Amino acid sequence: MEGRIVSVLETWPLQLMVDGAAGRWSVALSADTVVTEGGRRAEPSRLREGSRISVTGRETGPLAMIAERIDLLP
Amino acid sequence: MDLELRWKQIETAMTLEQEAAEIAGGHDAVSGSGVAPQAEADTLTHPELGSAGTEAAGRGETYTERPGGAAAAIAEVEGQESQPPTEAVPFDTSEIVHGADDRVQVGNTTAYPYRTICHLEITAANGRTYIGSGAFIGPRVVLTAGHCVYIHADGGWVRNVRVIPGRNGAQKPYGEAVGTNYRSVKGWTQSRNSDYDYGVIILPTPLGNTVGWMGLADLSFASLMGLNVNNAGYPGDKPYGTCWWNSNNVLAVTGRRLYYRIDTMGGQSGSPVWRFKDGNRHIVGIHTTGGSPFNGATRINDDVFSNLQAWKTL
Repeated sequence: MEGRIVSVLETWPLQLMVDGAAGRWSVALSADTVVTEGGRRAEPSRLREGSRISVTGRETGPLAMIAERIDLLP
Repeated sequence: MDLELRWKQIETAMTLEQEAAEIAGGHDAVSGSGVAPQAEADTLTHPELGSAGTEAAGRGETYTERPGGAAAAIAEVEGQESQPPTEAVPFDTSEIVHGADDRVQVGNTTAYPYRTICHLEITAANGRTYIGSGAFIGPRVVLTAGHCVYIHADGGWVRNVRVIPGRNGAQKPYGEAVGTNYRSVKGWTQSRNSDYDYGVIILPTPLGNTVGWMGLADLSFASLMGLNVNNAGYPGDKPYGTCWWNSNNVLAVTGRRLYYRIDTMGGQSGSPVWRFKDGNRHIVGIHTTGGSPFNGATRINDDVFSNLQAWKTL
């Protein structure tokens, strides 16, 4: 799923609200979620409102998923 | 577009809109003196809002409850809090920290109001776990973020929340309680709207009678803009279970949100944003989001105030 971060919800791990083509997704991170930026590993704190991301993970419900990998897009 | 410029444009538009709204029906409503238990005087005043009040009822602010729960009835001198009793602790700079990281560890979490602030260990419906923060607002009721009690990606209502007030690392000076009964609103649970991101945990034991609670304040736009507010909670980038405080001014206000440059990190969702004035402390927002250039909270507006008033005595 590709989309733009609408909100970074500050539980630990983080939760994200992401606007994608199909609507607003709820995306939950886990301690193992890999975040990359520019092809390099990045901290989850690099995820910001307005950032474009690509999320790979497991869908857990309508417009809901647990992220295994989040790539920050240019 | 540069984010700072976009925020300035939004801020200007919101200022004009809010000023007009406030002229029509602005008010300040305050509940509770925010003192130690038994001594709290609930001096609630809730002014009539006329059409604004009616609109509030129709905005999706109907309470919603965890299935199976009982139906609930459907709310320092002004300026910077003096620094909490603490010792200065060096720390690393983080990302959703704005500028230099000036968070301060709360050394004595048994001092008021820090003993009312809780470390939350959240178990979602699917068994996954999270850290959050909250604050007592009544004997059994802990205020927190909606996304601490209802997690859309993890099956909805959480399985349970372990609430540890005044936690200081391994120390749990008041013990703990596990909550399995919650309240939130449909704007969060059904619509996933961050403007409605708030909820409460209802505990089986009245731990609030031991630690006390802060009051609640539904302040006008004029009162909130530029107001120095305090925040304390349990960030996940610090030693586990330690409480951290920070303070700054409210920089932007909408009908449902507050924005500020208070340094926060994941784990602080649900932590109270409070005003310290004339010796009383009142929560004005519930911290929910990290962002650049601002972090944000759900504002305690008329609707939120009304619901919290109804819930806090459950």
